[in-house]
Amino acid sequence: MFEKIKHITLKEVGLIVLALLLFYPFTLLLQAFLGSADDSIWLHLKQTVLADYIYNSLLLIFYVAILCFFLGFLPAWYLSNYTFRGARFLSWALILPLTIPSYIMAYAYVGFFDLTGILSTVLRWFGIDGFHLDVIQTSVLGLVLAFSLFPYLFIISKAYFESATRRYVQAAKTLGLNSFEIFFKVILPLSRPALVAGLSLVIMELLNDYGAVKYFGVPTFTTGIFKVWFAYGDHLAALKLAFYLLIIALVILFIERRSRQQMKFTDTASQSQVLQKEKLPASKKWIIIWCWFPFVLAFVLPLIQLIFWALNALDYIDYSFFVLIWDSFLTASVAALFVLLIALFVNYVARFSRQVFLKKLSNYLTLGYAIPGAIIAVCVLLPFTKWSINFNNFFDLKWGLFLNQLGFTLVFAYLMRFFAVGYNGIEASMQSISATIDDSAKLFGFKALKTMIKIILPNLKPAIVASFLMLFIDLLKELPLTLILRPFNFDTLATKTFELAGDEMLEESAWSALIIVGLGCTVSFFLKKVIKL
Amino acid sequence: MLQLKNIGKTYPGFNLSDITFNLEKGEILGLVGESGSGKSTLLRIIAGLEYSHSGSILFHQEDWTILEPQLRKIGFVFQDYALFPHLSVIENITIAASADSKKVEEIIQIVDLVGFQDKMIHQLSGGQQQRVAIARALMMNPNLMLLDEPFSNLDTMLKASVRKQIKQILKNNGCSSIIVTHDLEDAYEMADKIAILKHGKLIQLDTPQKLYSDPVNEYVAGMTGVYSVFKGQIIRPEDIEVTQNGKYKGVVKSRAFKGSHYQIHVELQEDVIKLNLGTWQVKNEGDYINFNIK
Repeated sequence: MFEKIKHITLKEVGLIVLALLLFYPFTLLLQAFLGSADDSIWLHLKQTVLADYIYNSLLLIFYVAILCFFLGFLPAWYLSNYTFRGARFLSWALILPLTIPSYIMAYAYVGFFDLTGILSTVLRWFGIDGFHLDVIQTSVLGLVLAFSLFPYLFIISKAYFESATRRYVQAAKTLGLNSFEIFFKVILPLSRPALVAGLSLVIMELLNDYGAVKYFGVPTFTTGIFKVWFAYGDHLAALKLAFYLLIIALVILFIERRSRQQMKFTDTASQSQVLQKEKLPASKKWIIIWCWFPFVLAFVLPLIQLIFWALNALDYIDYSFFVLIWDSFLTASVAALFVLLIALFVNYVARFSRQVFLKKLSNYLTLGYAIPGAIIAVCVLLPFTKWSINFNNFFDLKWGLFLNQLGFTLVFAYLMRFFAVGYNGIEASMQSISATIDDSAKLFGFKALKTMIKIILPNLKPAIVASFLMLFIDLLKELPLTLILRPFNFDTLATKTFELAGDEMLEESAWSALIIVGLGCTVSFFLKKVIKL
Repeated sequence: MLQLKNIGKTYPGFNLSDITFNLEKGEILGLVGESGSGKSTLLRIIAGLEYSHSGSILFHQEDWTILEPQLRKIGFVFQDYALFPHLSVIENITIAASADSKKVEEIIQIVDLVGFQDKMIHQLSGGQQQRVAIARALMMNPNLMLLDEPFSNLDTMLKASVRKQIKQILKNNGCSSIIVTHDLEDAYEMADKIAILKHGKLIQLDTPQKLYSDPVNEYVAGMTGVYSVFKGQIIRPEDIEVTQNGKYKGVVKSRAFKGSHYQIHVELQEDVIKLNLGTWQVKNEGDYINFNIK
C-alpha cells in the first residue's frame, strides 16, 4: 500500500488536492451540527418552524411523486410500446419542460390564472369579467413543480422501457395476460428500480428548488436556510439547517444509486433483437391525449403565457437587457468551460492512474449534484470569505472580499454542484474507448498526456460538446447558488427573472425567462442531434 | 532469442507461475489455453504492459524484465486491434514511426491494403482492420511480434484465408512471433511450437506434431484433439483399428456422431469404455466390435 502511494504522480496529487477542496466546505456542516446547542435562533427554529419545513418538504415530495408518475412514467411506457402519429415528436418534446426552470413555471402558472393572465383575458373577450383563480397554495405548487420536474422520470423510465421490458411484454401476452394485467403484474414490479431512480432525481431537484417555493410562500428547508442566513444573519443556524437537508439528500442519493444498480440486474432479457413497437389500437386512442397532455400543460401553456407577457413589455428591451444577456451568457460559458476542463482532468487522471482509490475518489466527486444549491452556497461562502480576509491581512492589502467579488466563489460552487454533469458525460464516452488503445499508444512510446491529447480527446469530441451544452444550460438556469454567491451588483437572466417576478413585474421578467427557455430548447435540439436523445 | 525464466505474477484468485521457455529468431509460438489460463497476461508481461512479480525476460541477452514497453520495439496486435478510430489507415500505420514513404508503401503492399490508405477505420471490414493493425506493428521494425487472439473477431470463412496471409507476412518479416489463441486450429496452422497453459502454469511446450502424438496428460490431449483413454493410455481415433481379428472384443452400447468422428460406448468383459472412432470405422448400436490399439 505505502509502496504504491510512494509512486504517486503530480497529476494524482492534483486530483487529491481538488477532492480535498471540494469536500472541505461540507466539513463546516458537521462542525456546525456538532457545535454549540444553545444557539438561540436555532432553538427558536426548532420550537417554531422546523416542523413546518419538514412537513412542507414531505408534502411536496408526496404531491410531486404522485403527479410525476402520471405525467412522466405512464407516457414513457406508452411511447416505448406504441407507435402513433406524433409519438416520435413527443419522445423528444416531453423532455422540453426541463428547459423551463421551476421558478419560471411558477410565475407563468400563477400569472395564467391571474386577473391579467391569459385565461382571464380570453374570458373577458367572451364577456366574463374579473375571473381569476387563487392558485397560491401548496397543492398547486406541487403541480407546478411536477410540470417542471417530470421529464427526469420520463427520460429514465423511457430508456429502461426501451431497453428491457418489451420482451417481457411479449412473453406475458403469450401467457394470455391483458394490458391491465401486464402493466400491474409485470411492468410495474419490473420497472420499480427505474421508477425509484427517476423519482429520486425528481426529489433531489425538488429539494434544490428555491425560486418556486419562495414565490408560493411555502416554507421549506431551502427557504429556511436563506431566511436564517440573510434575514437573521445566523450562519451557524443556517448551517445546522443545511446539515439536516444534506442528510435527507444523501438518503435519497443512496436510494437512487441502489435503484440504478438494481436496474442492471433486473434486465436479464437478451438485447440482441430489437422488437418492433405496436401500432396503437383504436380502442386505446385516449393514450394520444394522455401523452400530449403533459407537453401542453408543462410547456406550451407556460410558454404562451411568457410570450403574452413579453409582448406587453416590449419597452423592457433596451441596452441593459442585452448587457444582462451577455453577462449571463459569459458567466454560463466560462463556468461551463471551467467545470468541463476539471471534469476532463479528473477523467484523465482516473484513466491513467494506477491508484485504484483515485478512480473511486473521482466518482465520489460527483455527489455534489445531489446536494441542494442552498447548502453548497452556505458551505462555500464562509471559507471563501475567510480566505479573502486572511489573504488581505497576510499581505496587508485592502482588496475586500475579492474572491467573492471576482466570481471565484460562485464558479467554485458551480463546480461542486455541476461537476457530475461534465464528468459523467465524458466518463461514459471515455469508457467506450478500449483500454488497449492506451496500451497500443504506450508501445509507441506515447506518455499519458500525449495519448490523451492525440488519441483520446479527438474521440471525445461529441461527448465534450454534449457535456458543455448540458452544463451551459444548467448554469444559465441556476438560481439559488447564483443568488447567494454572485458578485455585488451582478445579475444573470435567472436572478433578474426571480427579482422582477418577486417585485410583481411579471411582464418584464418574461423576456429573461423566454431567453432561458429559448436557449434551453436550442440546446436540447442540438443534444438530440449530438447524442441522439 | 527471447528467453523467459521462471516468470510469475499473482493476482487475487490467479497465479501465473514459473513460466520458462526460449523462442528462437523467426520462430512462431502459439500460446494456447482456456479463458483465465494466463496467456494474455503472459503476453502483456512480455510486451512490458505489465511487470512480472518474479523471474526474468531476456532478449538477445538484454534484460527486458523491467524495461519500458516502448524501448522493447514490440509489434503488438490486440484482440480488438486497438486502431485509432479518428485516424485514417495511413495515419494509423505511421502514427509512431517516422518511416520513409518507400517503407510505408512496402508494408501497405505486404498487408495488401493498396488503395485503402485514405479510408477511415470504420469503413474497413474486420479482415482489413486486422491487416492495418499488423501493418502498424510491422512499421516499428519489431524485435518481436505479439498477437493477442488476432482471429477471434473474424468469421470462419475469412479466418482461414487471413491465417494463411498472416503467417506468410510474419515469416517474410523474419522476427519471432507469439500468437495467443484459444483455437487449436489457429495454433496448428500458424505455430512452429505450441505452449499449453492451464491455471497459470505451462503444462507442455512442443511442436504441434509432438503435442498431438505425445501429450503429457489428458488435459493436453483434450486441448490438442480428440482422444480416448484405454487401459491408462491416451489414444487418438487413428490409433484404433477396427478389425475382425482385433485383440479386444465388445458390444457397441451407444453411438453419437461428432462430425469428424463417432463417439461410442463399448461394453467389454470387464467394464464399459468410451472410444472415439474415425468416421470410416462406423459401427451401429448393438454391433459386436473387435479392435486393436496401434
